[in-house]
Amino acid sequence: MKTVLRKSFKRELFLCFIVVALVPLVITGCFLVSVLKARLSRDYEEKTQEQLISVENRMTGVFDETERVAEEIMSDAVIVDGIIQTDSWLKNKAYKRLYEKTQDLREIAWFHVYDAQGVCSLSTSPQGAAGELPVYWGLLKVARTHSQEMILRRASWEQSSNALCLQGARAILDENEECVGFVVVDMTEDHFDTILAGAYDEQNGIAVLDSFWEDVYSTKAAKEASLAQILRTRRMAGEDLRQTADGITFYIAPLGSTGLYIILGKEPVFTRDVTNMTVGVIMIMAVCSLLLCVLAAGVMSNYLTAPVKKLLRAMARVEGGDLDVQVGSGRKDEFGQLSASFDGMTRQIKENLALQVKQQKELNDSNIAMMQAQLNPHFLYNTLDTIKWVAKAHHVPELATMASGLARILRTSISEAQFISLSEEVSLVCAYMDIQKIRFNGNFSYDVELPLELEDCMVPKMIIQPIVENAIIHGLKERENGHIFINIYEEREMLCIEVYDDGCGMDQTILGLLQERNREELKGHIGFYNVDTIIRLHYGTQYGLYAENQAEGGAKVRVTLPVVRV
Amino acid sequence: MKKRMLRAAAVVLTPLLIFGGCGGGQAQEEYHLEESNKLVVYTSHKEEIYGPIVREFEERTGIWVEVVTGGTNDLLDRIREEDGKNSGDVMFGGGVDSLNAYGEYFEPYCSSQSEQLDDTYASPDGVYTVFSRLPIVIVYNKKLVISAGTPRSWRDLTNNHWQGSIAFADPDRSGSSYTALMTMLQILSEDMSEEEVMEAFVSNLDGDILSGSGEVLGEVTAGKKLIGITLEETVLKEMDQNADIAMIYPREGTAAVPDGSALIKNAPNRENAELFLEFTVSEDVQRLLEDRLYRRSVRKGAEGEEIREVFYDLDYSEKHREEILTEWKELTQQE
Repeated sequence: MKTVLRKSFKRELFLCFIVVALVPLVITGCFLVSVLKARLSRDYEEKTQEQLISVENRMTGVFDETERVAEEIMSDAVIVDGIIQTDSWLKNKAYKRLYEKTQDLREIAWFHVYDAQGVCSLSTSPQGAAGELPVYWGLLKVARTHSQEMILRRASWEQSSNALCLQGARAILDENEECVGFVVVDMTEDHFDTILAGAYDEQNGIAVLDSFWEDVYSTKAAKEASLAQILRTRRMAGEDLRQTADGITFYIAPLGSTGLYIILGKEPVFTRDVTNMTVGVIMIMAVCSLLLCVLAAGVMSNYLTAPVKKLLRAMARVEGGDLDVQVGSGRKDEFGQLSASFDGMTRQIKENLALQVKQQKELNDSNIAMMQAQLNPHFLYNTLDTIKWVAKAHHVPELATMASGLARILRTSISEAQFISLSEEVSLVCAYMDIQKIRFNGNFSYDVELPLELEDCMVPKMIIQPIVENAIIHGLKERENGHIFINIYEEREMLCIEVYDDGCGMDQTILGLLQERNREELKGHIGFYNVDTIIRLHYGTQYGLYAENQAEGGAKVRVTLPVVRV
Repeated sequence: MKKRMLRAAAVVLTPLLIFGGCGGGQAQEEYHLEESNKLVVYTSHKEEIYGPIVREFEERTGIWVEVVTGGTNDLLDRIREEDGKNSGDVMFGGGVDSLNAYGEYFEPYCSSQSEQLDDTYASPDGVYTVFSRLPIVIVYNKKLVISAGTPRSWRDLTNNHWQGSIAFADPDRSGSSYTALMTMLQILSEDMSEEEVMEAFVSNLDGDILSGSGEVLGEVTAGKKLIGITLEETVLKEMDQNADIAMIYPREGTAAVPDGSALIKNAPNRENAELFLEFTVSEDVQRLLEDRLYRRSVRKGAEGEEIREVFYDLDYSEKHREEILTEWKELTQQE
């Protein structure tokens, strides 16, 4: 995986872009949504709590007011007298007083006065007297036993077509603490609607529950969602009361000291739709930035990799030895600078190389001159010539031969010419061998094979002599009747000069040193090294000297040269 | 500067705090209900009966009552299936004969007020506690039957004068109908055989047998039938709204077989269940039954109008149920 990702600059860039573009986007998006969500739900929660409080205040205000009016009614002698009156005039008076007292609250409650047996005597209800309420049961029973307070209860008896929600009752006591009747307050659904109008948001369901969480009053929305039933069931089952059901969240507050509760069911602000939409927007943005990343990665990687690729190609050519390469980028940025310095570098390398070659050549030329200078004092040659003539005059042919041979060798050595013909070289070698033959009492013989067509080939002078010298001094040492064979031939446009001897062969270490061209260690065989070096300096490294031992005994030294004719 | 940083930190941290703080555990604590404060009541009564009683019970005791409603037989079957596991606490409603039949699933209980209760149909082994008496009456349409011409007795119902005019529900489907039939057989068996009574009665029905006891009153008020046989409770309730019907207690007397309540075996809230049972036979509830719910109290010395009652033999009618119903079926199919 890692390697796949690393392989391409484009992919790396793409990955980089995605991380840079998408991660902040997604993180900020999620963060934004959650912050928004939290903020909104907090605001809405506060708002809902406010609503709840406003509803609560309104309700408790109404209850306080009705209680106050109820107290006024029960302390009004005319009304209390009216309970048992059958005289219509007196009853009428009581009614008048009752309507007077309840004037302000007529819209939000009906007031009744019941006698001690629970029969309705006076009533402000437009539907007339409310019939009877049992005094041994429910509301009036509690009102009687708790005569100091207003008792509020969910209405239980269906007494009229108008849905009765809540009933309040207060016992009327005479001076002997005997119950003479009850003030009963009825609140219908219409009354609740009037009380709560404008106190809450229509979307929210509001319900008033009694102390056992039975529905006293529900707004339309609350009825549809059956908030009261849900909550009572939950409380009975010990479930989480505030958990949402069908997306509705519940808020519960006790309604003062009345024993009633207010609940508010609210649709969540951040519905699934809104969440989905925000997530969708973030997704679309992510996809867009992904596409942008792909595009940018492509363009950027091309922009970045094109000069790199060009540079790479140029480098490959330099590696192949072509130092004329120039990248020549027209850009002004870091890549431009890089190309320029690459171009400068190749130029510099090329100049340096040329300089080095020139210096080497100068060095080599001086070397050759030095090597040749070692051999030749003019005076030796003249002396030898004299010796030859003296020997001839005294009839010592060996001496004459030796002197003339040495003279020839010396003459060639001191001549200015670097190159001599192969025939001259061979005759020089023959002269040398003749001298050695006399020195070693004719202990060896030699043959030279030189094809006629190669005689005029030009070779550096004195390249065979050091080899033959080595064969005589090292190879044929302490040996009777040794033989040296020089074979010259042309092979694949290459001049081959081979020197065979049938002596003891060369030491393996010497062969190894020759192969390594180790000058320091080749003491006593410096002639081989010189030959090799001269050939290489003149003709290049594909030519040179190679030595080996023959299988049947003796050494074989082979020198290769180009066929050069004047 | 520092303030701004603080505000930024607040913005960052608020959602975390809010998310972390959700749950409303406080509300949970505040509104937690103790298990011991609950009661599960299975009832076959109508809401107008159990509603006020359950509510008053809640308010007087502070116990929260969960009401499970259903038909008598459905609820009894449910109790049998639950067999004391995850069951309710009280079975409220159902004729005492039905409750007796399922006696093994109920806990025997003897009410502390049994001295004050009518013991005519009291359970000998305390399986049930009686709740209300339900006399069987003859209802008639005042517009169609003059009061002088109304049937006066069970015997009158076998008179072919009423052929095709009697509304009566199938005793196989309606418990009260079976009780009515058995009452008639029991009363008339003194000078007629059971078969003769049944034959005469069935022929009076003219093959028109209603499928449920609820239809009887409708047939009579609509004038399709002149008279009907049903429970006093339903007639009284209807009479409150509709002045055109009246009822007669048969001269020979009538059966007032009570319904009752029983403690379900292994009730989780046994104490509350006992409280409820006591409450159903309390003076206030029994008074309410007569006052507002058109039923007769099971307490001794109840105020209700005296009627002539005959003892209905629960054992006998239970034992001969199959036999009687088979005969009934044969007779009605002959028609």
